[in-house]
Amino acid sequence: MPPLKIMLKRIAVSLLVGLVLGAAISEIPFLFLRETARPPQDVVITIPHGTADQVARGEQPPTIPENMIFVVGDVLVVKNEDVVDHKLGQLWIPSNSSAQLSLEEEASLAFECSFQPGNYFGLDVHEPLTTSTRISGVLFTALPMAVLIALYSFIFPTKKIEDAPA
Amino acid sequence: MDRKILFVGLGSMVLVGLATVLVVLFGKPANFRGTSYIEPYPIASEFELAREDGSSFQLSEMRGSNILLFFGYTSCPDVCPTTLAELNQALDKLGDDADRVQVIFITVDPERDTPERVQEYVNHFNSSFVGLSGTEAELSRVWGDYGVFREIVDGTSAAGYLVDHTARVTLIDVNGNLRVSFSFDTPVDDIVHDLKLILKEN
Repeated sequence: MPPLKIMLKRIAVSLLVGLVLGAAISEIPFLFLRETARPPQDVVITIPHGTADQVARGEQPPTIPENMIFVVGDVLVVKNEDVVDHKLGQLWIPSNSSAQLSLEEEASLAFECSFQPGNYFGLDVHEPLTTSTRISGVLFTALPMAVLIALYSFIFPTKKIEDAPA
Repeated sequence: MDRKILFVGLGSMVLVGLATVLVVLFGKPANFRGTSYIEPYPIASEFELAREDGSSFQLSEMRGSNILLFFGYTSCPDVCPTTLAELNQALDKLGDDADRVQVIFITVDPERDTPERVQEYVNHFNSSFVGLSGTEAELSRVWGDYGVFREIVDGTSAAGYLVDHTARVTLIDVNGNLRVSFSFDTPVDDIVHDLKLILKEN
């Protein structure tokens, strides 16, 4: 076993290396979740005048996406400016009115939808990606990695110069 | 000493008052748990349908009451009895305020559901519920006005053919506005919560 001073030094270095590696590993998936890195908010979809005609012709209304990503706590507000009523799942929106849907839990939803040519609208609801989530991710990856690195480091032989008297 | 107490008392009152004003002005209003409509609220379309006693029922007669409107049929094996039982539970949970809420059940199966049969059916759940029927033409207009889908399907149950239909419950306020809609899987407590919010407004 190396002397205590060297062991402490190795533990410190292991922690540092673990932290850097943990940050690198855990931040990679977060790069793909940028859309959820925001607090909950009202998300408005406007169904423009003439949408029903466009959908009947099989065209995708340019202002309405096919799928959307939300965070828990978001409120989806659908404004129907078309001349006909529209439906999104159980949400029925009469012409020239607005309705809202609170998204209170994580889910991947597929709604029947009258303002999409495919009659389908996908909603992905994720937990919001906050700074504390990212810090937790780094720590949960970094700490076990640091412990492993530290354990491995203990079996490495110490340099002679470290054992020699000053 | 007395002046000091007076100042502290007045100061506390001013602080409480300020806090109240801030809460009223900037506090987040309680949200509906069902899907809600936003002002200006859409007006619930008027309809006139037959009651069991041969009289006609108009939605406008119910101004001043909050209405839970549901479309279904008496031979329904699952969704309709469950929904009506849940609406009955919701009214039970409202206690005395249940008198201010009227449940209306409109058939999507006029071939089998006469006004008498519909009323008899809803009476099994709660005798205050109103069951309505009409001719296919009359009902088609109402289904259209409330965005109700219905389709007779080939599969049969012990009671005959089945009808696929929208299973949404719509809450109409005392002014005849559409306010909230509840999907089939909405918990009873959420319906009660939203009813209480609407009742508070009245």
